[in-house]
Amino acid sequence: MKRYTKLYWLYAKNHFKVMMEYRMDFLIGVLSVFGQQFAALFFLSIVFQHIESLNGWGFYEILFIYGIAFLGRAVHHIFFDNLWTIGWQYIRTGNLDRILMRPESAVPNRRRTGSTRRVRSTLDWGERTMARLE
Amino acid sequence: MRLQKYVALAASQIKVDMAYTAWYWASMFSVTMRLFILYFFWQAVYENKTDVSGISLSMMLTYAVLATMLDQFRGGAGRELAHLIKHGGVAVELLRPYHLLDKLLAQDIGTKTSTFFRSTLPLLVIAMLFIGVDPPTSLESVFAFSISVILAILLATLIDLLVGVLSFYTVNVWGLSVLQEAVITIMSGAIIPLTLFPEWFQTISLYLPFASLVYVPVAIYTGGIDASSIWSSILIQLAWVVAFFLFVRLLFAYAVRKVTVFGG
Repeated sequence: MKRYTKLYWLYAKNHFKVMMEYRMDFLIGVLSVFGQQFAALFFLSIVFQHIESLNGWGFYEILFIYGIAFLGRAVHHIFFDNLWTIGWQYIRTGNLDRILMRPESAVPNRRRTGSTRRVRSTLDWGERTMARLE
Repeated sequence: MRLQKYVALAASQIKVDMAYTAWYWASMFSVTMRLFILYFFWQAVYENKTDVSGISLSMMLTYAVLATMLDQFRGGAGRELAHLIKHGGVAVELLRPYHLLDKLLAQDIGTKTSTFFRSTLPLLVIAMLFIGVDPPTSLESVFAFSISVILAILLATLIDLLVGVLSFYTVNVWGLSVLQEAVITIMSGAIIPLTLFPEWFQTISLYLPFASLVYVPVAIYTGGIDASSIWSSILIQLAWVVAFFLFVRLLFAYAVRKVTVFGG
């Protein structure tokens, strides 16, 4: 287990380095994820400008639900975001064989070679939304 | 410009799409889910009111169904191009006897045609049975709607291509594509009609192309855009399509020259 943790950390660092290579793109991406969060909250606030309650839930209660849901999603993304790309990015292109040949098991490998991008921003935002409602 | 080769490319893309059936069912499932979520959402919103900002429940549901379906056509051409650029395949493609942009467009049309028959039509049937889609307001609006839809899909493809061409400069297109998705989702009216947004937002969206992507065609159908402004809205759409088409071509030509100079 400890070995996997170390490997995981190495992969994560490596991936960050890859992303920082394309610095401008990375920055745009992080800002855009924040933008997505803003857009979602903007959408909710607009809906609540027109109505008072949504099936018994008020604006802040809906925001709370959104915060919880997104927090869970963000944590999931940190660890498992890249698994779903196994289909088209690895099996289809033949890259999965390359990974299967490695001395470590394939799944923990896959988990980390992917996107940490969304992680920080969504995690921050989920927490921030929750905190704002305290 | 011989059209046959592009038709062949479109056809081959359709075959590629048909080969992955699990993908097809998965995407059908997810869009159906999205439709039903929107359905329940609007049911809850309209629980205590009969209309929101002048839009009735059935009109809103019709809007949601059509907007969700139109949103499926957002565009893969740019992603293809970005992939080619990032992995170097673009060098080979540029040597071939066709214009790369035309090839991408042809492939994209192929994908979208197959999407239309495989998923849009069945979804429309499901929506009509379970959610209830309003009939169009008039014959003229159906005609205008069809034209508007074609223009909207073209525009979406071109915007996507633009993002793809920009990846000549940023190599990794991830950030731009997230930005594109974020902006388009909220500003094209794919989630809620633009008329519900505050005044300042609507004024801004007048000057941006995104409203033409989803809001204009669907509003023509539901009558959100009244009869007098239908054709001017379509003209605006056409103008955006032409502008983006020219801009993408120019940017591409410039970028390609730059790439070749450096020995790409």
